[in-house]
Amino acid sequence: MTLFARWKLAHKLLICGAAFLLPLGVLLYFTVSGFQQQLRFTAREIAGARALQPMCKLAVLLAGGQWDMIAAGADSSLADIRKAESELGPLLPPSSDAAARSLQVAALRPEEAKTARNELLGQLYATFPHLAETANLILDPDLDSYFLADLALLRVPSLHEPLSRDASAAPDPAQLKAAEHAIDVVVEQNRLKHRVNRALETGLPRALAIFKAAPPGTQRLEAASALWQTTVTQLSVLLDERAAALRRKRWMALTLTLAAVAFAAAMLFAVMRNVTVPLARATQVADRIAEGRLSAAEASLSEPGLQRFLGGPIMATNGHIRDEAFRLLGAFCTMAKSLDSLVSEVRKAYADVEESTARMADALRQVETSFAEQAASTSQVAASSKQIFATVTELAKNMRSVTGMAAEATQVANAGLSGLSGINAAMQQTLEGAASVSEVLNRISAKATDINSVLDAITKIANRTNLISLNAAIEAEKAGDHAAGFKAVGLEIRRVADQTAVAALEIENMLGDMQSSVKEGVRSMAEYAERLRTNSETVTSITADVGRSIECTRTLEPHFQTVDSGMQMQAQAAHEILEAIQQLSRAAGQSRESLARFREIADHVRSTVGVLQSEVARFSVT
Amino acid sequence: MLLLILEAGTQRFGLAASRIVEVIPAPVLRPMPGLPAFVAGAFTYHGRVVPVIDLSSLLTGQPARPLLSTRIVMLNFHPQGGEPLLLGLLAEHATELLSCSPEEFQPAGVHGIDTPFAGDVLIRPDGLIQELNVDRLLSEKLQEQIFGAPA
Repeated sequence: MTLFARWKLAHKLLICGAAFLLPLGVLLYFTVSGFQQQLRFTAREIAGARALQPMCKLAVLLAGGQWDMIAAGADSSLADIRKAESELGPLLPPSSDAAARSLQVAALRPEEAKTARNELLGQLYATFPHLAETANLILDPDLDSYFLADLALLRVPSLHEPLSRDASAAPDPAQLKAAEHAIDVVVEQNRLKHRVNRALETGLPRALAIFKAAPPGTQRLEAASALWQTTVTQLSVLLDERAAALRRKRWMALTLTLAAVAFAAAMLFAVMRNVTVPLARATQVADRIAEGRLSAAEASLSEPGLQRFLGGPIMATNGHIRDEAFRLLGAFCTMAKSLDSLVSEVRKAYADVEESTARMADALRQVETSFAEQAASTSQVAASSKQIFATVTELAKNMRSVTGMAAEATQVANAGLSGLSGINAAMQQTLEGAASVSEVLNRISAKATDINSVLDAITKIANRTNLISLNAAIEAEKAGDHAAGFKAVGLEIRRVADQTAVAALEIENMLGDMQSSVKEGVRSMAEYAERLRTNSETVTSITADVGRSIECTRTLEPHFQTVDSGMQMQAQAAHEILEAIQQLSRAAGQSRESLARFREIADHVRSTVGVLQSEVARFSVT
Repeated sequence: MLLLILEAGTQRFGLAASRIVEVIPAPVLRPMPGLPAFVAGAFTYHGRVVPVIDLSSLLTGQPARPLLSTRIVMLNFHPQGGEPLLLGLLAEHATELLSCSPEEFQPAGVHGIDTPFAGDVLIRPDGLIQELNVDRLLSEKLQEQIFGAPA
């Protein structure tokens, strides 16, 4: 784990790639080396086939028996054979050269030449199996080339050899059958390989047919030679084709493998970059986020270089992007933005929470104070409720007696109503009496006025008499002693007049008194009648009122009973209120405890928010 | 001698019968503007215009009440160094006569400035009676205003 942690992802991917390259290289090596081996193998076969051609040509030439043609071609063929020996090692013994030289001089020494020809032919035919082994032709992996090589090296030579010695010799049927079988196999294999070699497919059976049909003698030999040469040529063609195919395959394998490796390397590099660049950026962003530099993280995410690399702005929500690293980067981008806003929000929220906590603490204190006040108020209310309960109970008791009294009052009121009716009647009678008195008094007053006029006349007479007597007395005084009698008469008249006047005055006084008394009486009587009338009206209205009030009192009684029952219920309700208040008091106590607990929780919340604040303070926000 | 008893307010005055012409009921008086309030007015008496003095108004400031006993006393007024003139004196309760001797009178003592006509007094059980001096009822200036300058 520590080793893995120390390496970068790119290194690990490179190691992985290298690990894959190793078996790939081994496989390539083995493939190419196999192709090489086969090519080398085929090359040796080709060399063998190439060596076979001059040998075949030489054998055909030698078998033909024309000495001038042999002399002309033997050297070149032998030279070719010797050239092939440089590749394949010694094929013909050194004595062959001597035999060849002897052939040059065949015209001079025909017997020696004939011997040399036979020796050379023997040596040639003896070389074919050796060549087959040396040139790997006998080990050929393909059936067609194998049988073709078998034909060219063993079957056809073994058919040709007797003919070369004696042209009229009949072919060995076993060898002929083997040759036929080999040709059939070659043709069949060639057909199976879809490599339709027309020359091989048509040439070989035709040459064999010509050979079989050829009459003994020179024609048969020539046919055998033709068959042999066709076989050799076809073998060479076949081997060349195979070598070319092998080379093609090797080139293809090499090219394909290298191309695949190159492609894989390119892909690996691209994938590595696609993975490592976003990852490295994501790591950087994550580091910055971890350090709390959110704005720096966002800035590094919106770099133009990175955007160019990614081919556009980072979008985590883009559904078309399926690359996990890109998605990771996009997610980081979203996370950074979200975190930024979150931190801002959390800061704001912290400020709010702090303020709210402070306010809550204030509110809590107020609420606690209020609770204390409420508790005090509740106990006061409880005491008041007790008093109310007692009062209401007392009131209910009183109400019951009031109801009883109301019933009594109703009875009394009924009695009072009948009494009032009596009063009303008496009042009416009094009023009528007063009216008659007033009438009598008016009559008296009229009489007094009459008397007064009479008295007035008397008074005037007395007055006149007095005046006359006065003047008479004065005249008598002025007359002196001469009119003593006149004076006495005057005095007497004056005395009578004075008495009359006195009487009249007395009557006047009495009459005045009486008149004023009558007037007073009439006035008083009128006032009295008026007052009586008013009183009568008042009494009437009072009677009506009292009747109504009695009626009310009567109707009030059931009300009083209702009120009484209401009072009872109220007393009960007051009792229930008292119990409720006591419960409320208990609840207030519980609420106070809850409040204390809530305060502890609020303190805890405040400390938690403080921790949160210190955590959030790590983040720097734009 | 014989005295006619008159009243002004609550006070009683006496007038000598020798100076009285006649006692008559109070007639309707014609007012005399421009003269003091105690000059009650004037009326015709036997073909002569006679001025009337209100005794009650002269002494108390209150005019005489219209009673049956409120009468006019016709007097002979003797201005100093002139012909005797007729003068009406309006007074309340002019119904009584009193006979007495001149020796019964005695001086009142102090003479008020405004009442030069009040003379000697007669003391009786039922009260004080003061004699009126008829010739001093009107001052000279008033005499001139009422009757004109003396001939």
